Amino acid sequence: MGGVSVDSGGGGGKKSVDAQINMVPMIDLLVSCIAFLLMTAVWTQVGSLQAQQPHGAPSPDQPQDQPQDQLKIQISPTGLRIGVNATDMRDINHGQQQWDELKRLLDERHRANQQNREVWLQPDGAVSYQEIIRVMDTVYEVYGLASRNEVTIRFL
Amino acid sequence: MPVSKPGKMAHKTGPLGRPVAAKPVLFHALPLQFAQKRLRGGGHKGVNADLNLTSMIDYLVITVVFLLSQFGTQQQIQSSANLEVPQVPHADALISAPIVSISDQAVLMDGQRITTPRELAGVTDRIDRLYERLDQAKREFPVLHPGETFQGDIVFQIDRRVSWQVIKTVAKTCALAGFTRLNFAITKGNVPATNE
Repeated sequence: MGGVSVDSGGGGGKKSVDAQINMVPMIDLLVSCIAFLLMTAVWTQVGSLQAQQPHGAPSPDQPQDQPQDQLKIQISPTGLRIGVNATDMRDINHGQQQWDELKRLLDERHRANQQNREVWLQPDGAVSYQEIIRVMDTVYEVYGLASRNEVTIRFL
Repeated sequence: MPVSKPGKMAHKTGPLGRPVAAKPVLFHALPLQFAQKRLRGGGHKGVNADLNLTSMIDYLVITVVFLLSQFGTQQQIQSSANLEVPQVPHADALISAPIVSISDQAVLMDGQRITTPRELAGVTDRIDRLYERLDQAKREFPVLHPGETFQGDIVFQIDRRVSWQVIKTVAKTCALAGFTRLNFAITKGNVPATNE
């Protein structure tokens, strides 16, 4: 027998406002809810990689901010380039070993300058999203998580 | 021994001023140890236990609330069809923010169609429709999140095959609307060999 039984007596002629809930259907409902939610729950782990972009678009008469002493990674369909400035750039050719090589170079740069916690990414328009995420993942692996302020990834 | 009639038993005042039954009472005055033992389960531990309903219902309600809270952003992220987000091992926790989905077929914001990547090919400026929706989301932020500061967070749920050119146009519109912190949604796990 389910439902709510309302006490109709007492209260000086007025109808009582108290109600008694039947425990059995209530517990049935809660257990059914749990079973349903467990069966339809998403168990895959979802996460995110955080990156910053400049506020608004740069005006034509104002040159875009170029990071002077920050580590930059240029991503193109043919490979990667990593360095602080034009003379310092190191090429990583596209291939199976590029991620290991990127990790090694990032690790080297990170150990050389532990104060620097900013990495700028400059992807080419033709590069796929998967490639960019792999680069960001490698940065996370070497520097740490952006949510803990261990690294800030920015897009040029 | 006389047998008492059922009903209210006569009492007398005991040594501590408490009422004490005037006549002998079963299991008190007459302990009947063997009968008590049999009633308790014949020397074995009883198999019945009392369940406290209050704490049980508390537990059930908390479990339901916890499971419902898991249905927030994660469910929304997983529900988009024809969208294969990249899988990488290192990631932050996913935050709750407006979701922009980009696939080969369409650009959506919170599940509503904005445009298609093909239409974006010639666009160099902002995407007006997306800008309006984002601006509205920004204006609604203090109402939906009282006491929180607007950080400019936006979740990007992008198919792994989409080119940066398309993402750049969408990201630029987001920046113009004040959403400068991009959170790229991914699936945690080792990179599949096919994506190497």
